[in-house]
Amino acid sequence: MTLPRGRVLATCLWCVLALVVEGYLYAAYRVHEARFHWFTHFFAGASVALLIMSAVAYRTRRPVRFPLLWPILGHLIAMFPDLLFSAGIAHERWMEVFLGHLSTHFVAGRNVTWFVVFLACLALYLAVLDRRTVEQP
Amino acid sequence: MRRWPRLFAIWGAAAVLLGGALLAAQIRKSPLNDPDLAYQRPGFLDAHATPFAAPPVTEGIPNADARTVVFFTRPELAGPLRNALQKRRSLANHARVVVVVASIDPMLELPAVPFVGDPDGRLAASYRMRVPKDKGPPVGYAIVDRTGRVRYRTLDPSMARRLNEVETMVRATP
Repeated sequence: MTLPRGRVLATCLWCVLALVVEGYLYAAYRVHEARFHWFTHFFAGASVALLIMSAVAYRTRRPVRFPLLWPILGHLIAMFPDLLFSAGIAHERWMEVFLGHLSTHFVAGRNVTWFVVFLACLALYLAVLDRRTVEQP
Repeated sequence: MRRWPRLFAIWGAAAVLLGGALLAAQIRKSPLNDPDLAYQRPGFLDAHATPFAAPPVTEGIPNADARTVVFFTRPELAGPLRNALQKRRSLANHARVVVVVASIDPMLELPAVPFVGDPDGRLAASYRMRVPKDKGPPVGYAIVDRTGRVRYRTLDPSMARRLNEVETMVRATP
């Protein structure tokens, strides 16, 4: 089965955009010697996004639109308190509303656990795509 | 028609790319870092446990009614920290500052900032500073609130370059 050229090009452009955005965020955390935090918030935010994407795709029987945008949005929500921190506002307990910004760092297994959770959520979404949805023209 | 080969390739690419990046980040850790990075620069008060009474560092420090930052460092890093503190005077507007050096005599001076020797690491241990990856003396800081309780402590090998972050945490401390 071959995909239309326009769709392949659009997919490539979205991939490049996603890589640029996440690459920029990764570099910013790296400058602050905080890569550990980037991984936690990326995996946590993207996992929540993938769960929502799975539910939406299951219900509508169609792949979600702009699938790379959702995990990036999840990541931005999860990391939002870090933007406040860089503006001079320390973290507080209420910032847990940002997808568990504080407590996600302390799960057993740390980022390895979140990596496994992320892969499981990605597998779920892809399985929903495979079993429940129809290929978009 | 099943699309599973293409979807599995997507899953595999994500696993390899992110797994590789995670592995690379785990390997390239400074020997002065906390072995458990969750406890390094958490950015919020009381991340470790319940606050506890701050042991005295030197005469009058910590004292009542003033926040205190207790820096812990090694002799080779004490000079850069001293220079950074000299440049960032605003920190002194928010807290008393003291530097504890893991040596017999720190041989450093700065107006209003005492330098204290801690050759056996007893002071660092009394502040329950975490032990770095290389098992040597801690490089980091503790923040004491106005009631004399330790509210924040972290290892931070680059704290001399990040005094703005220290100031953010001091301002958040009651």
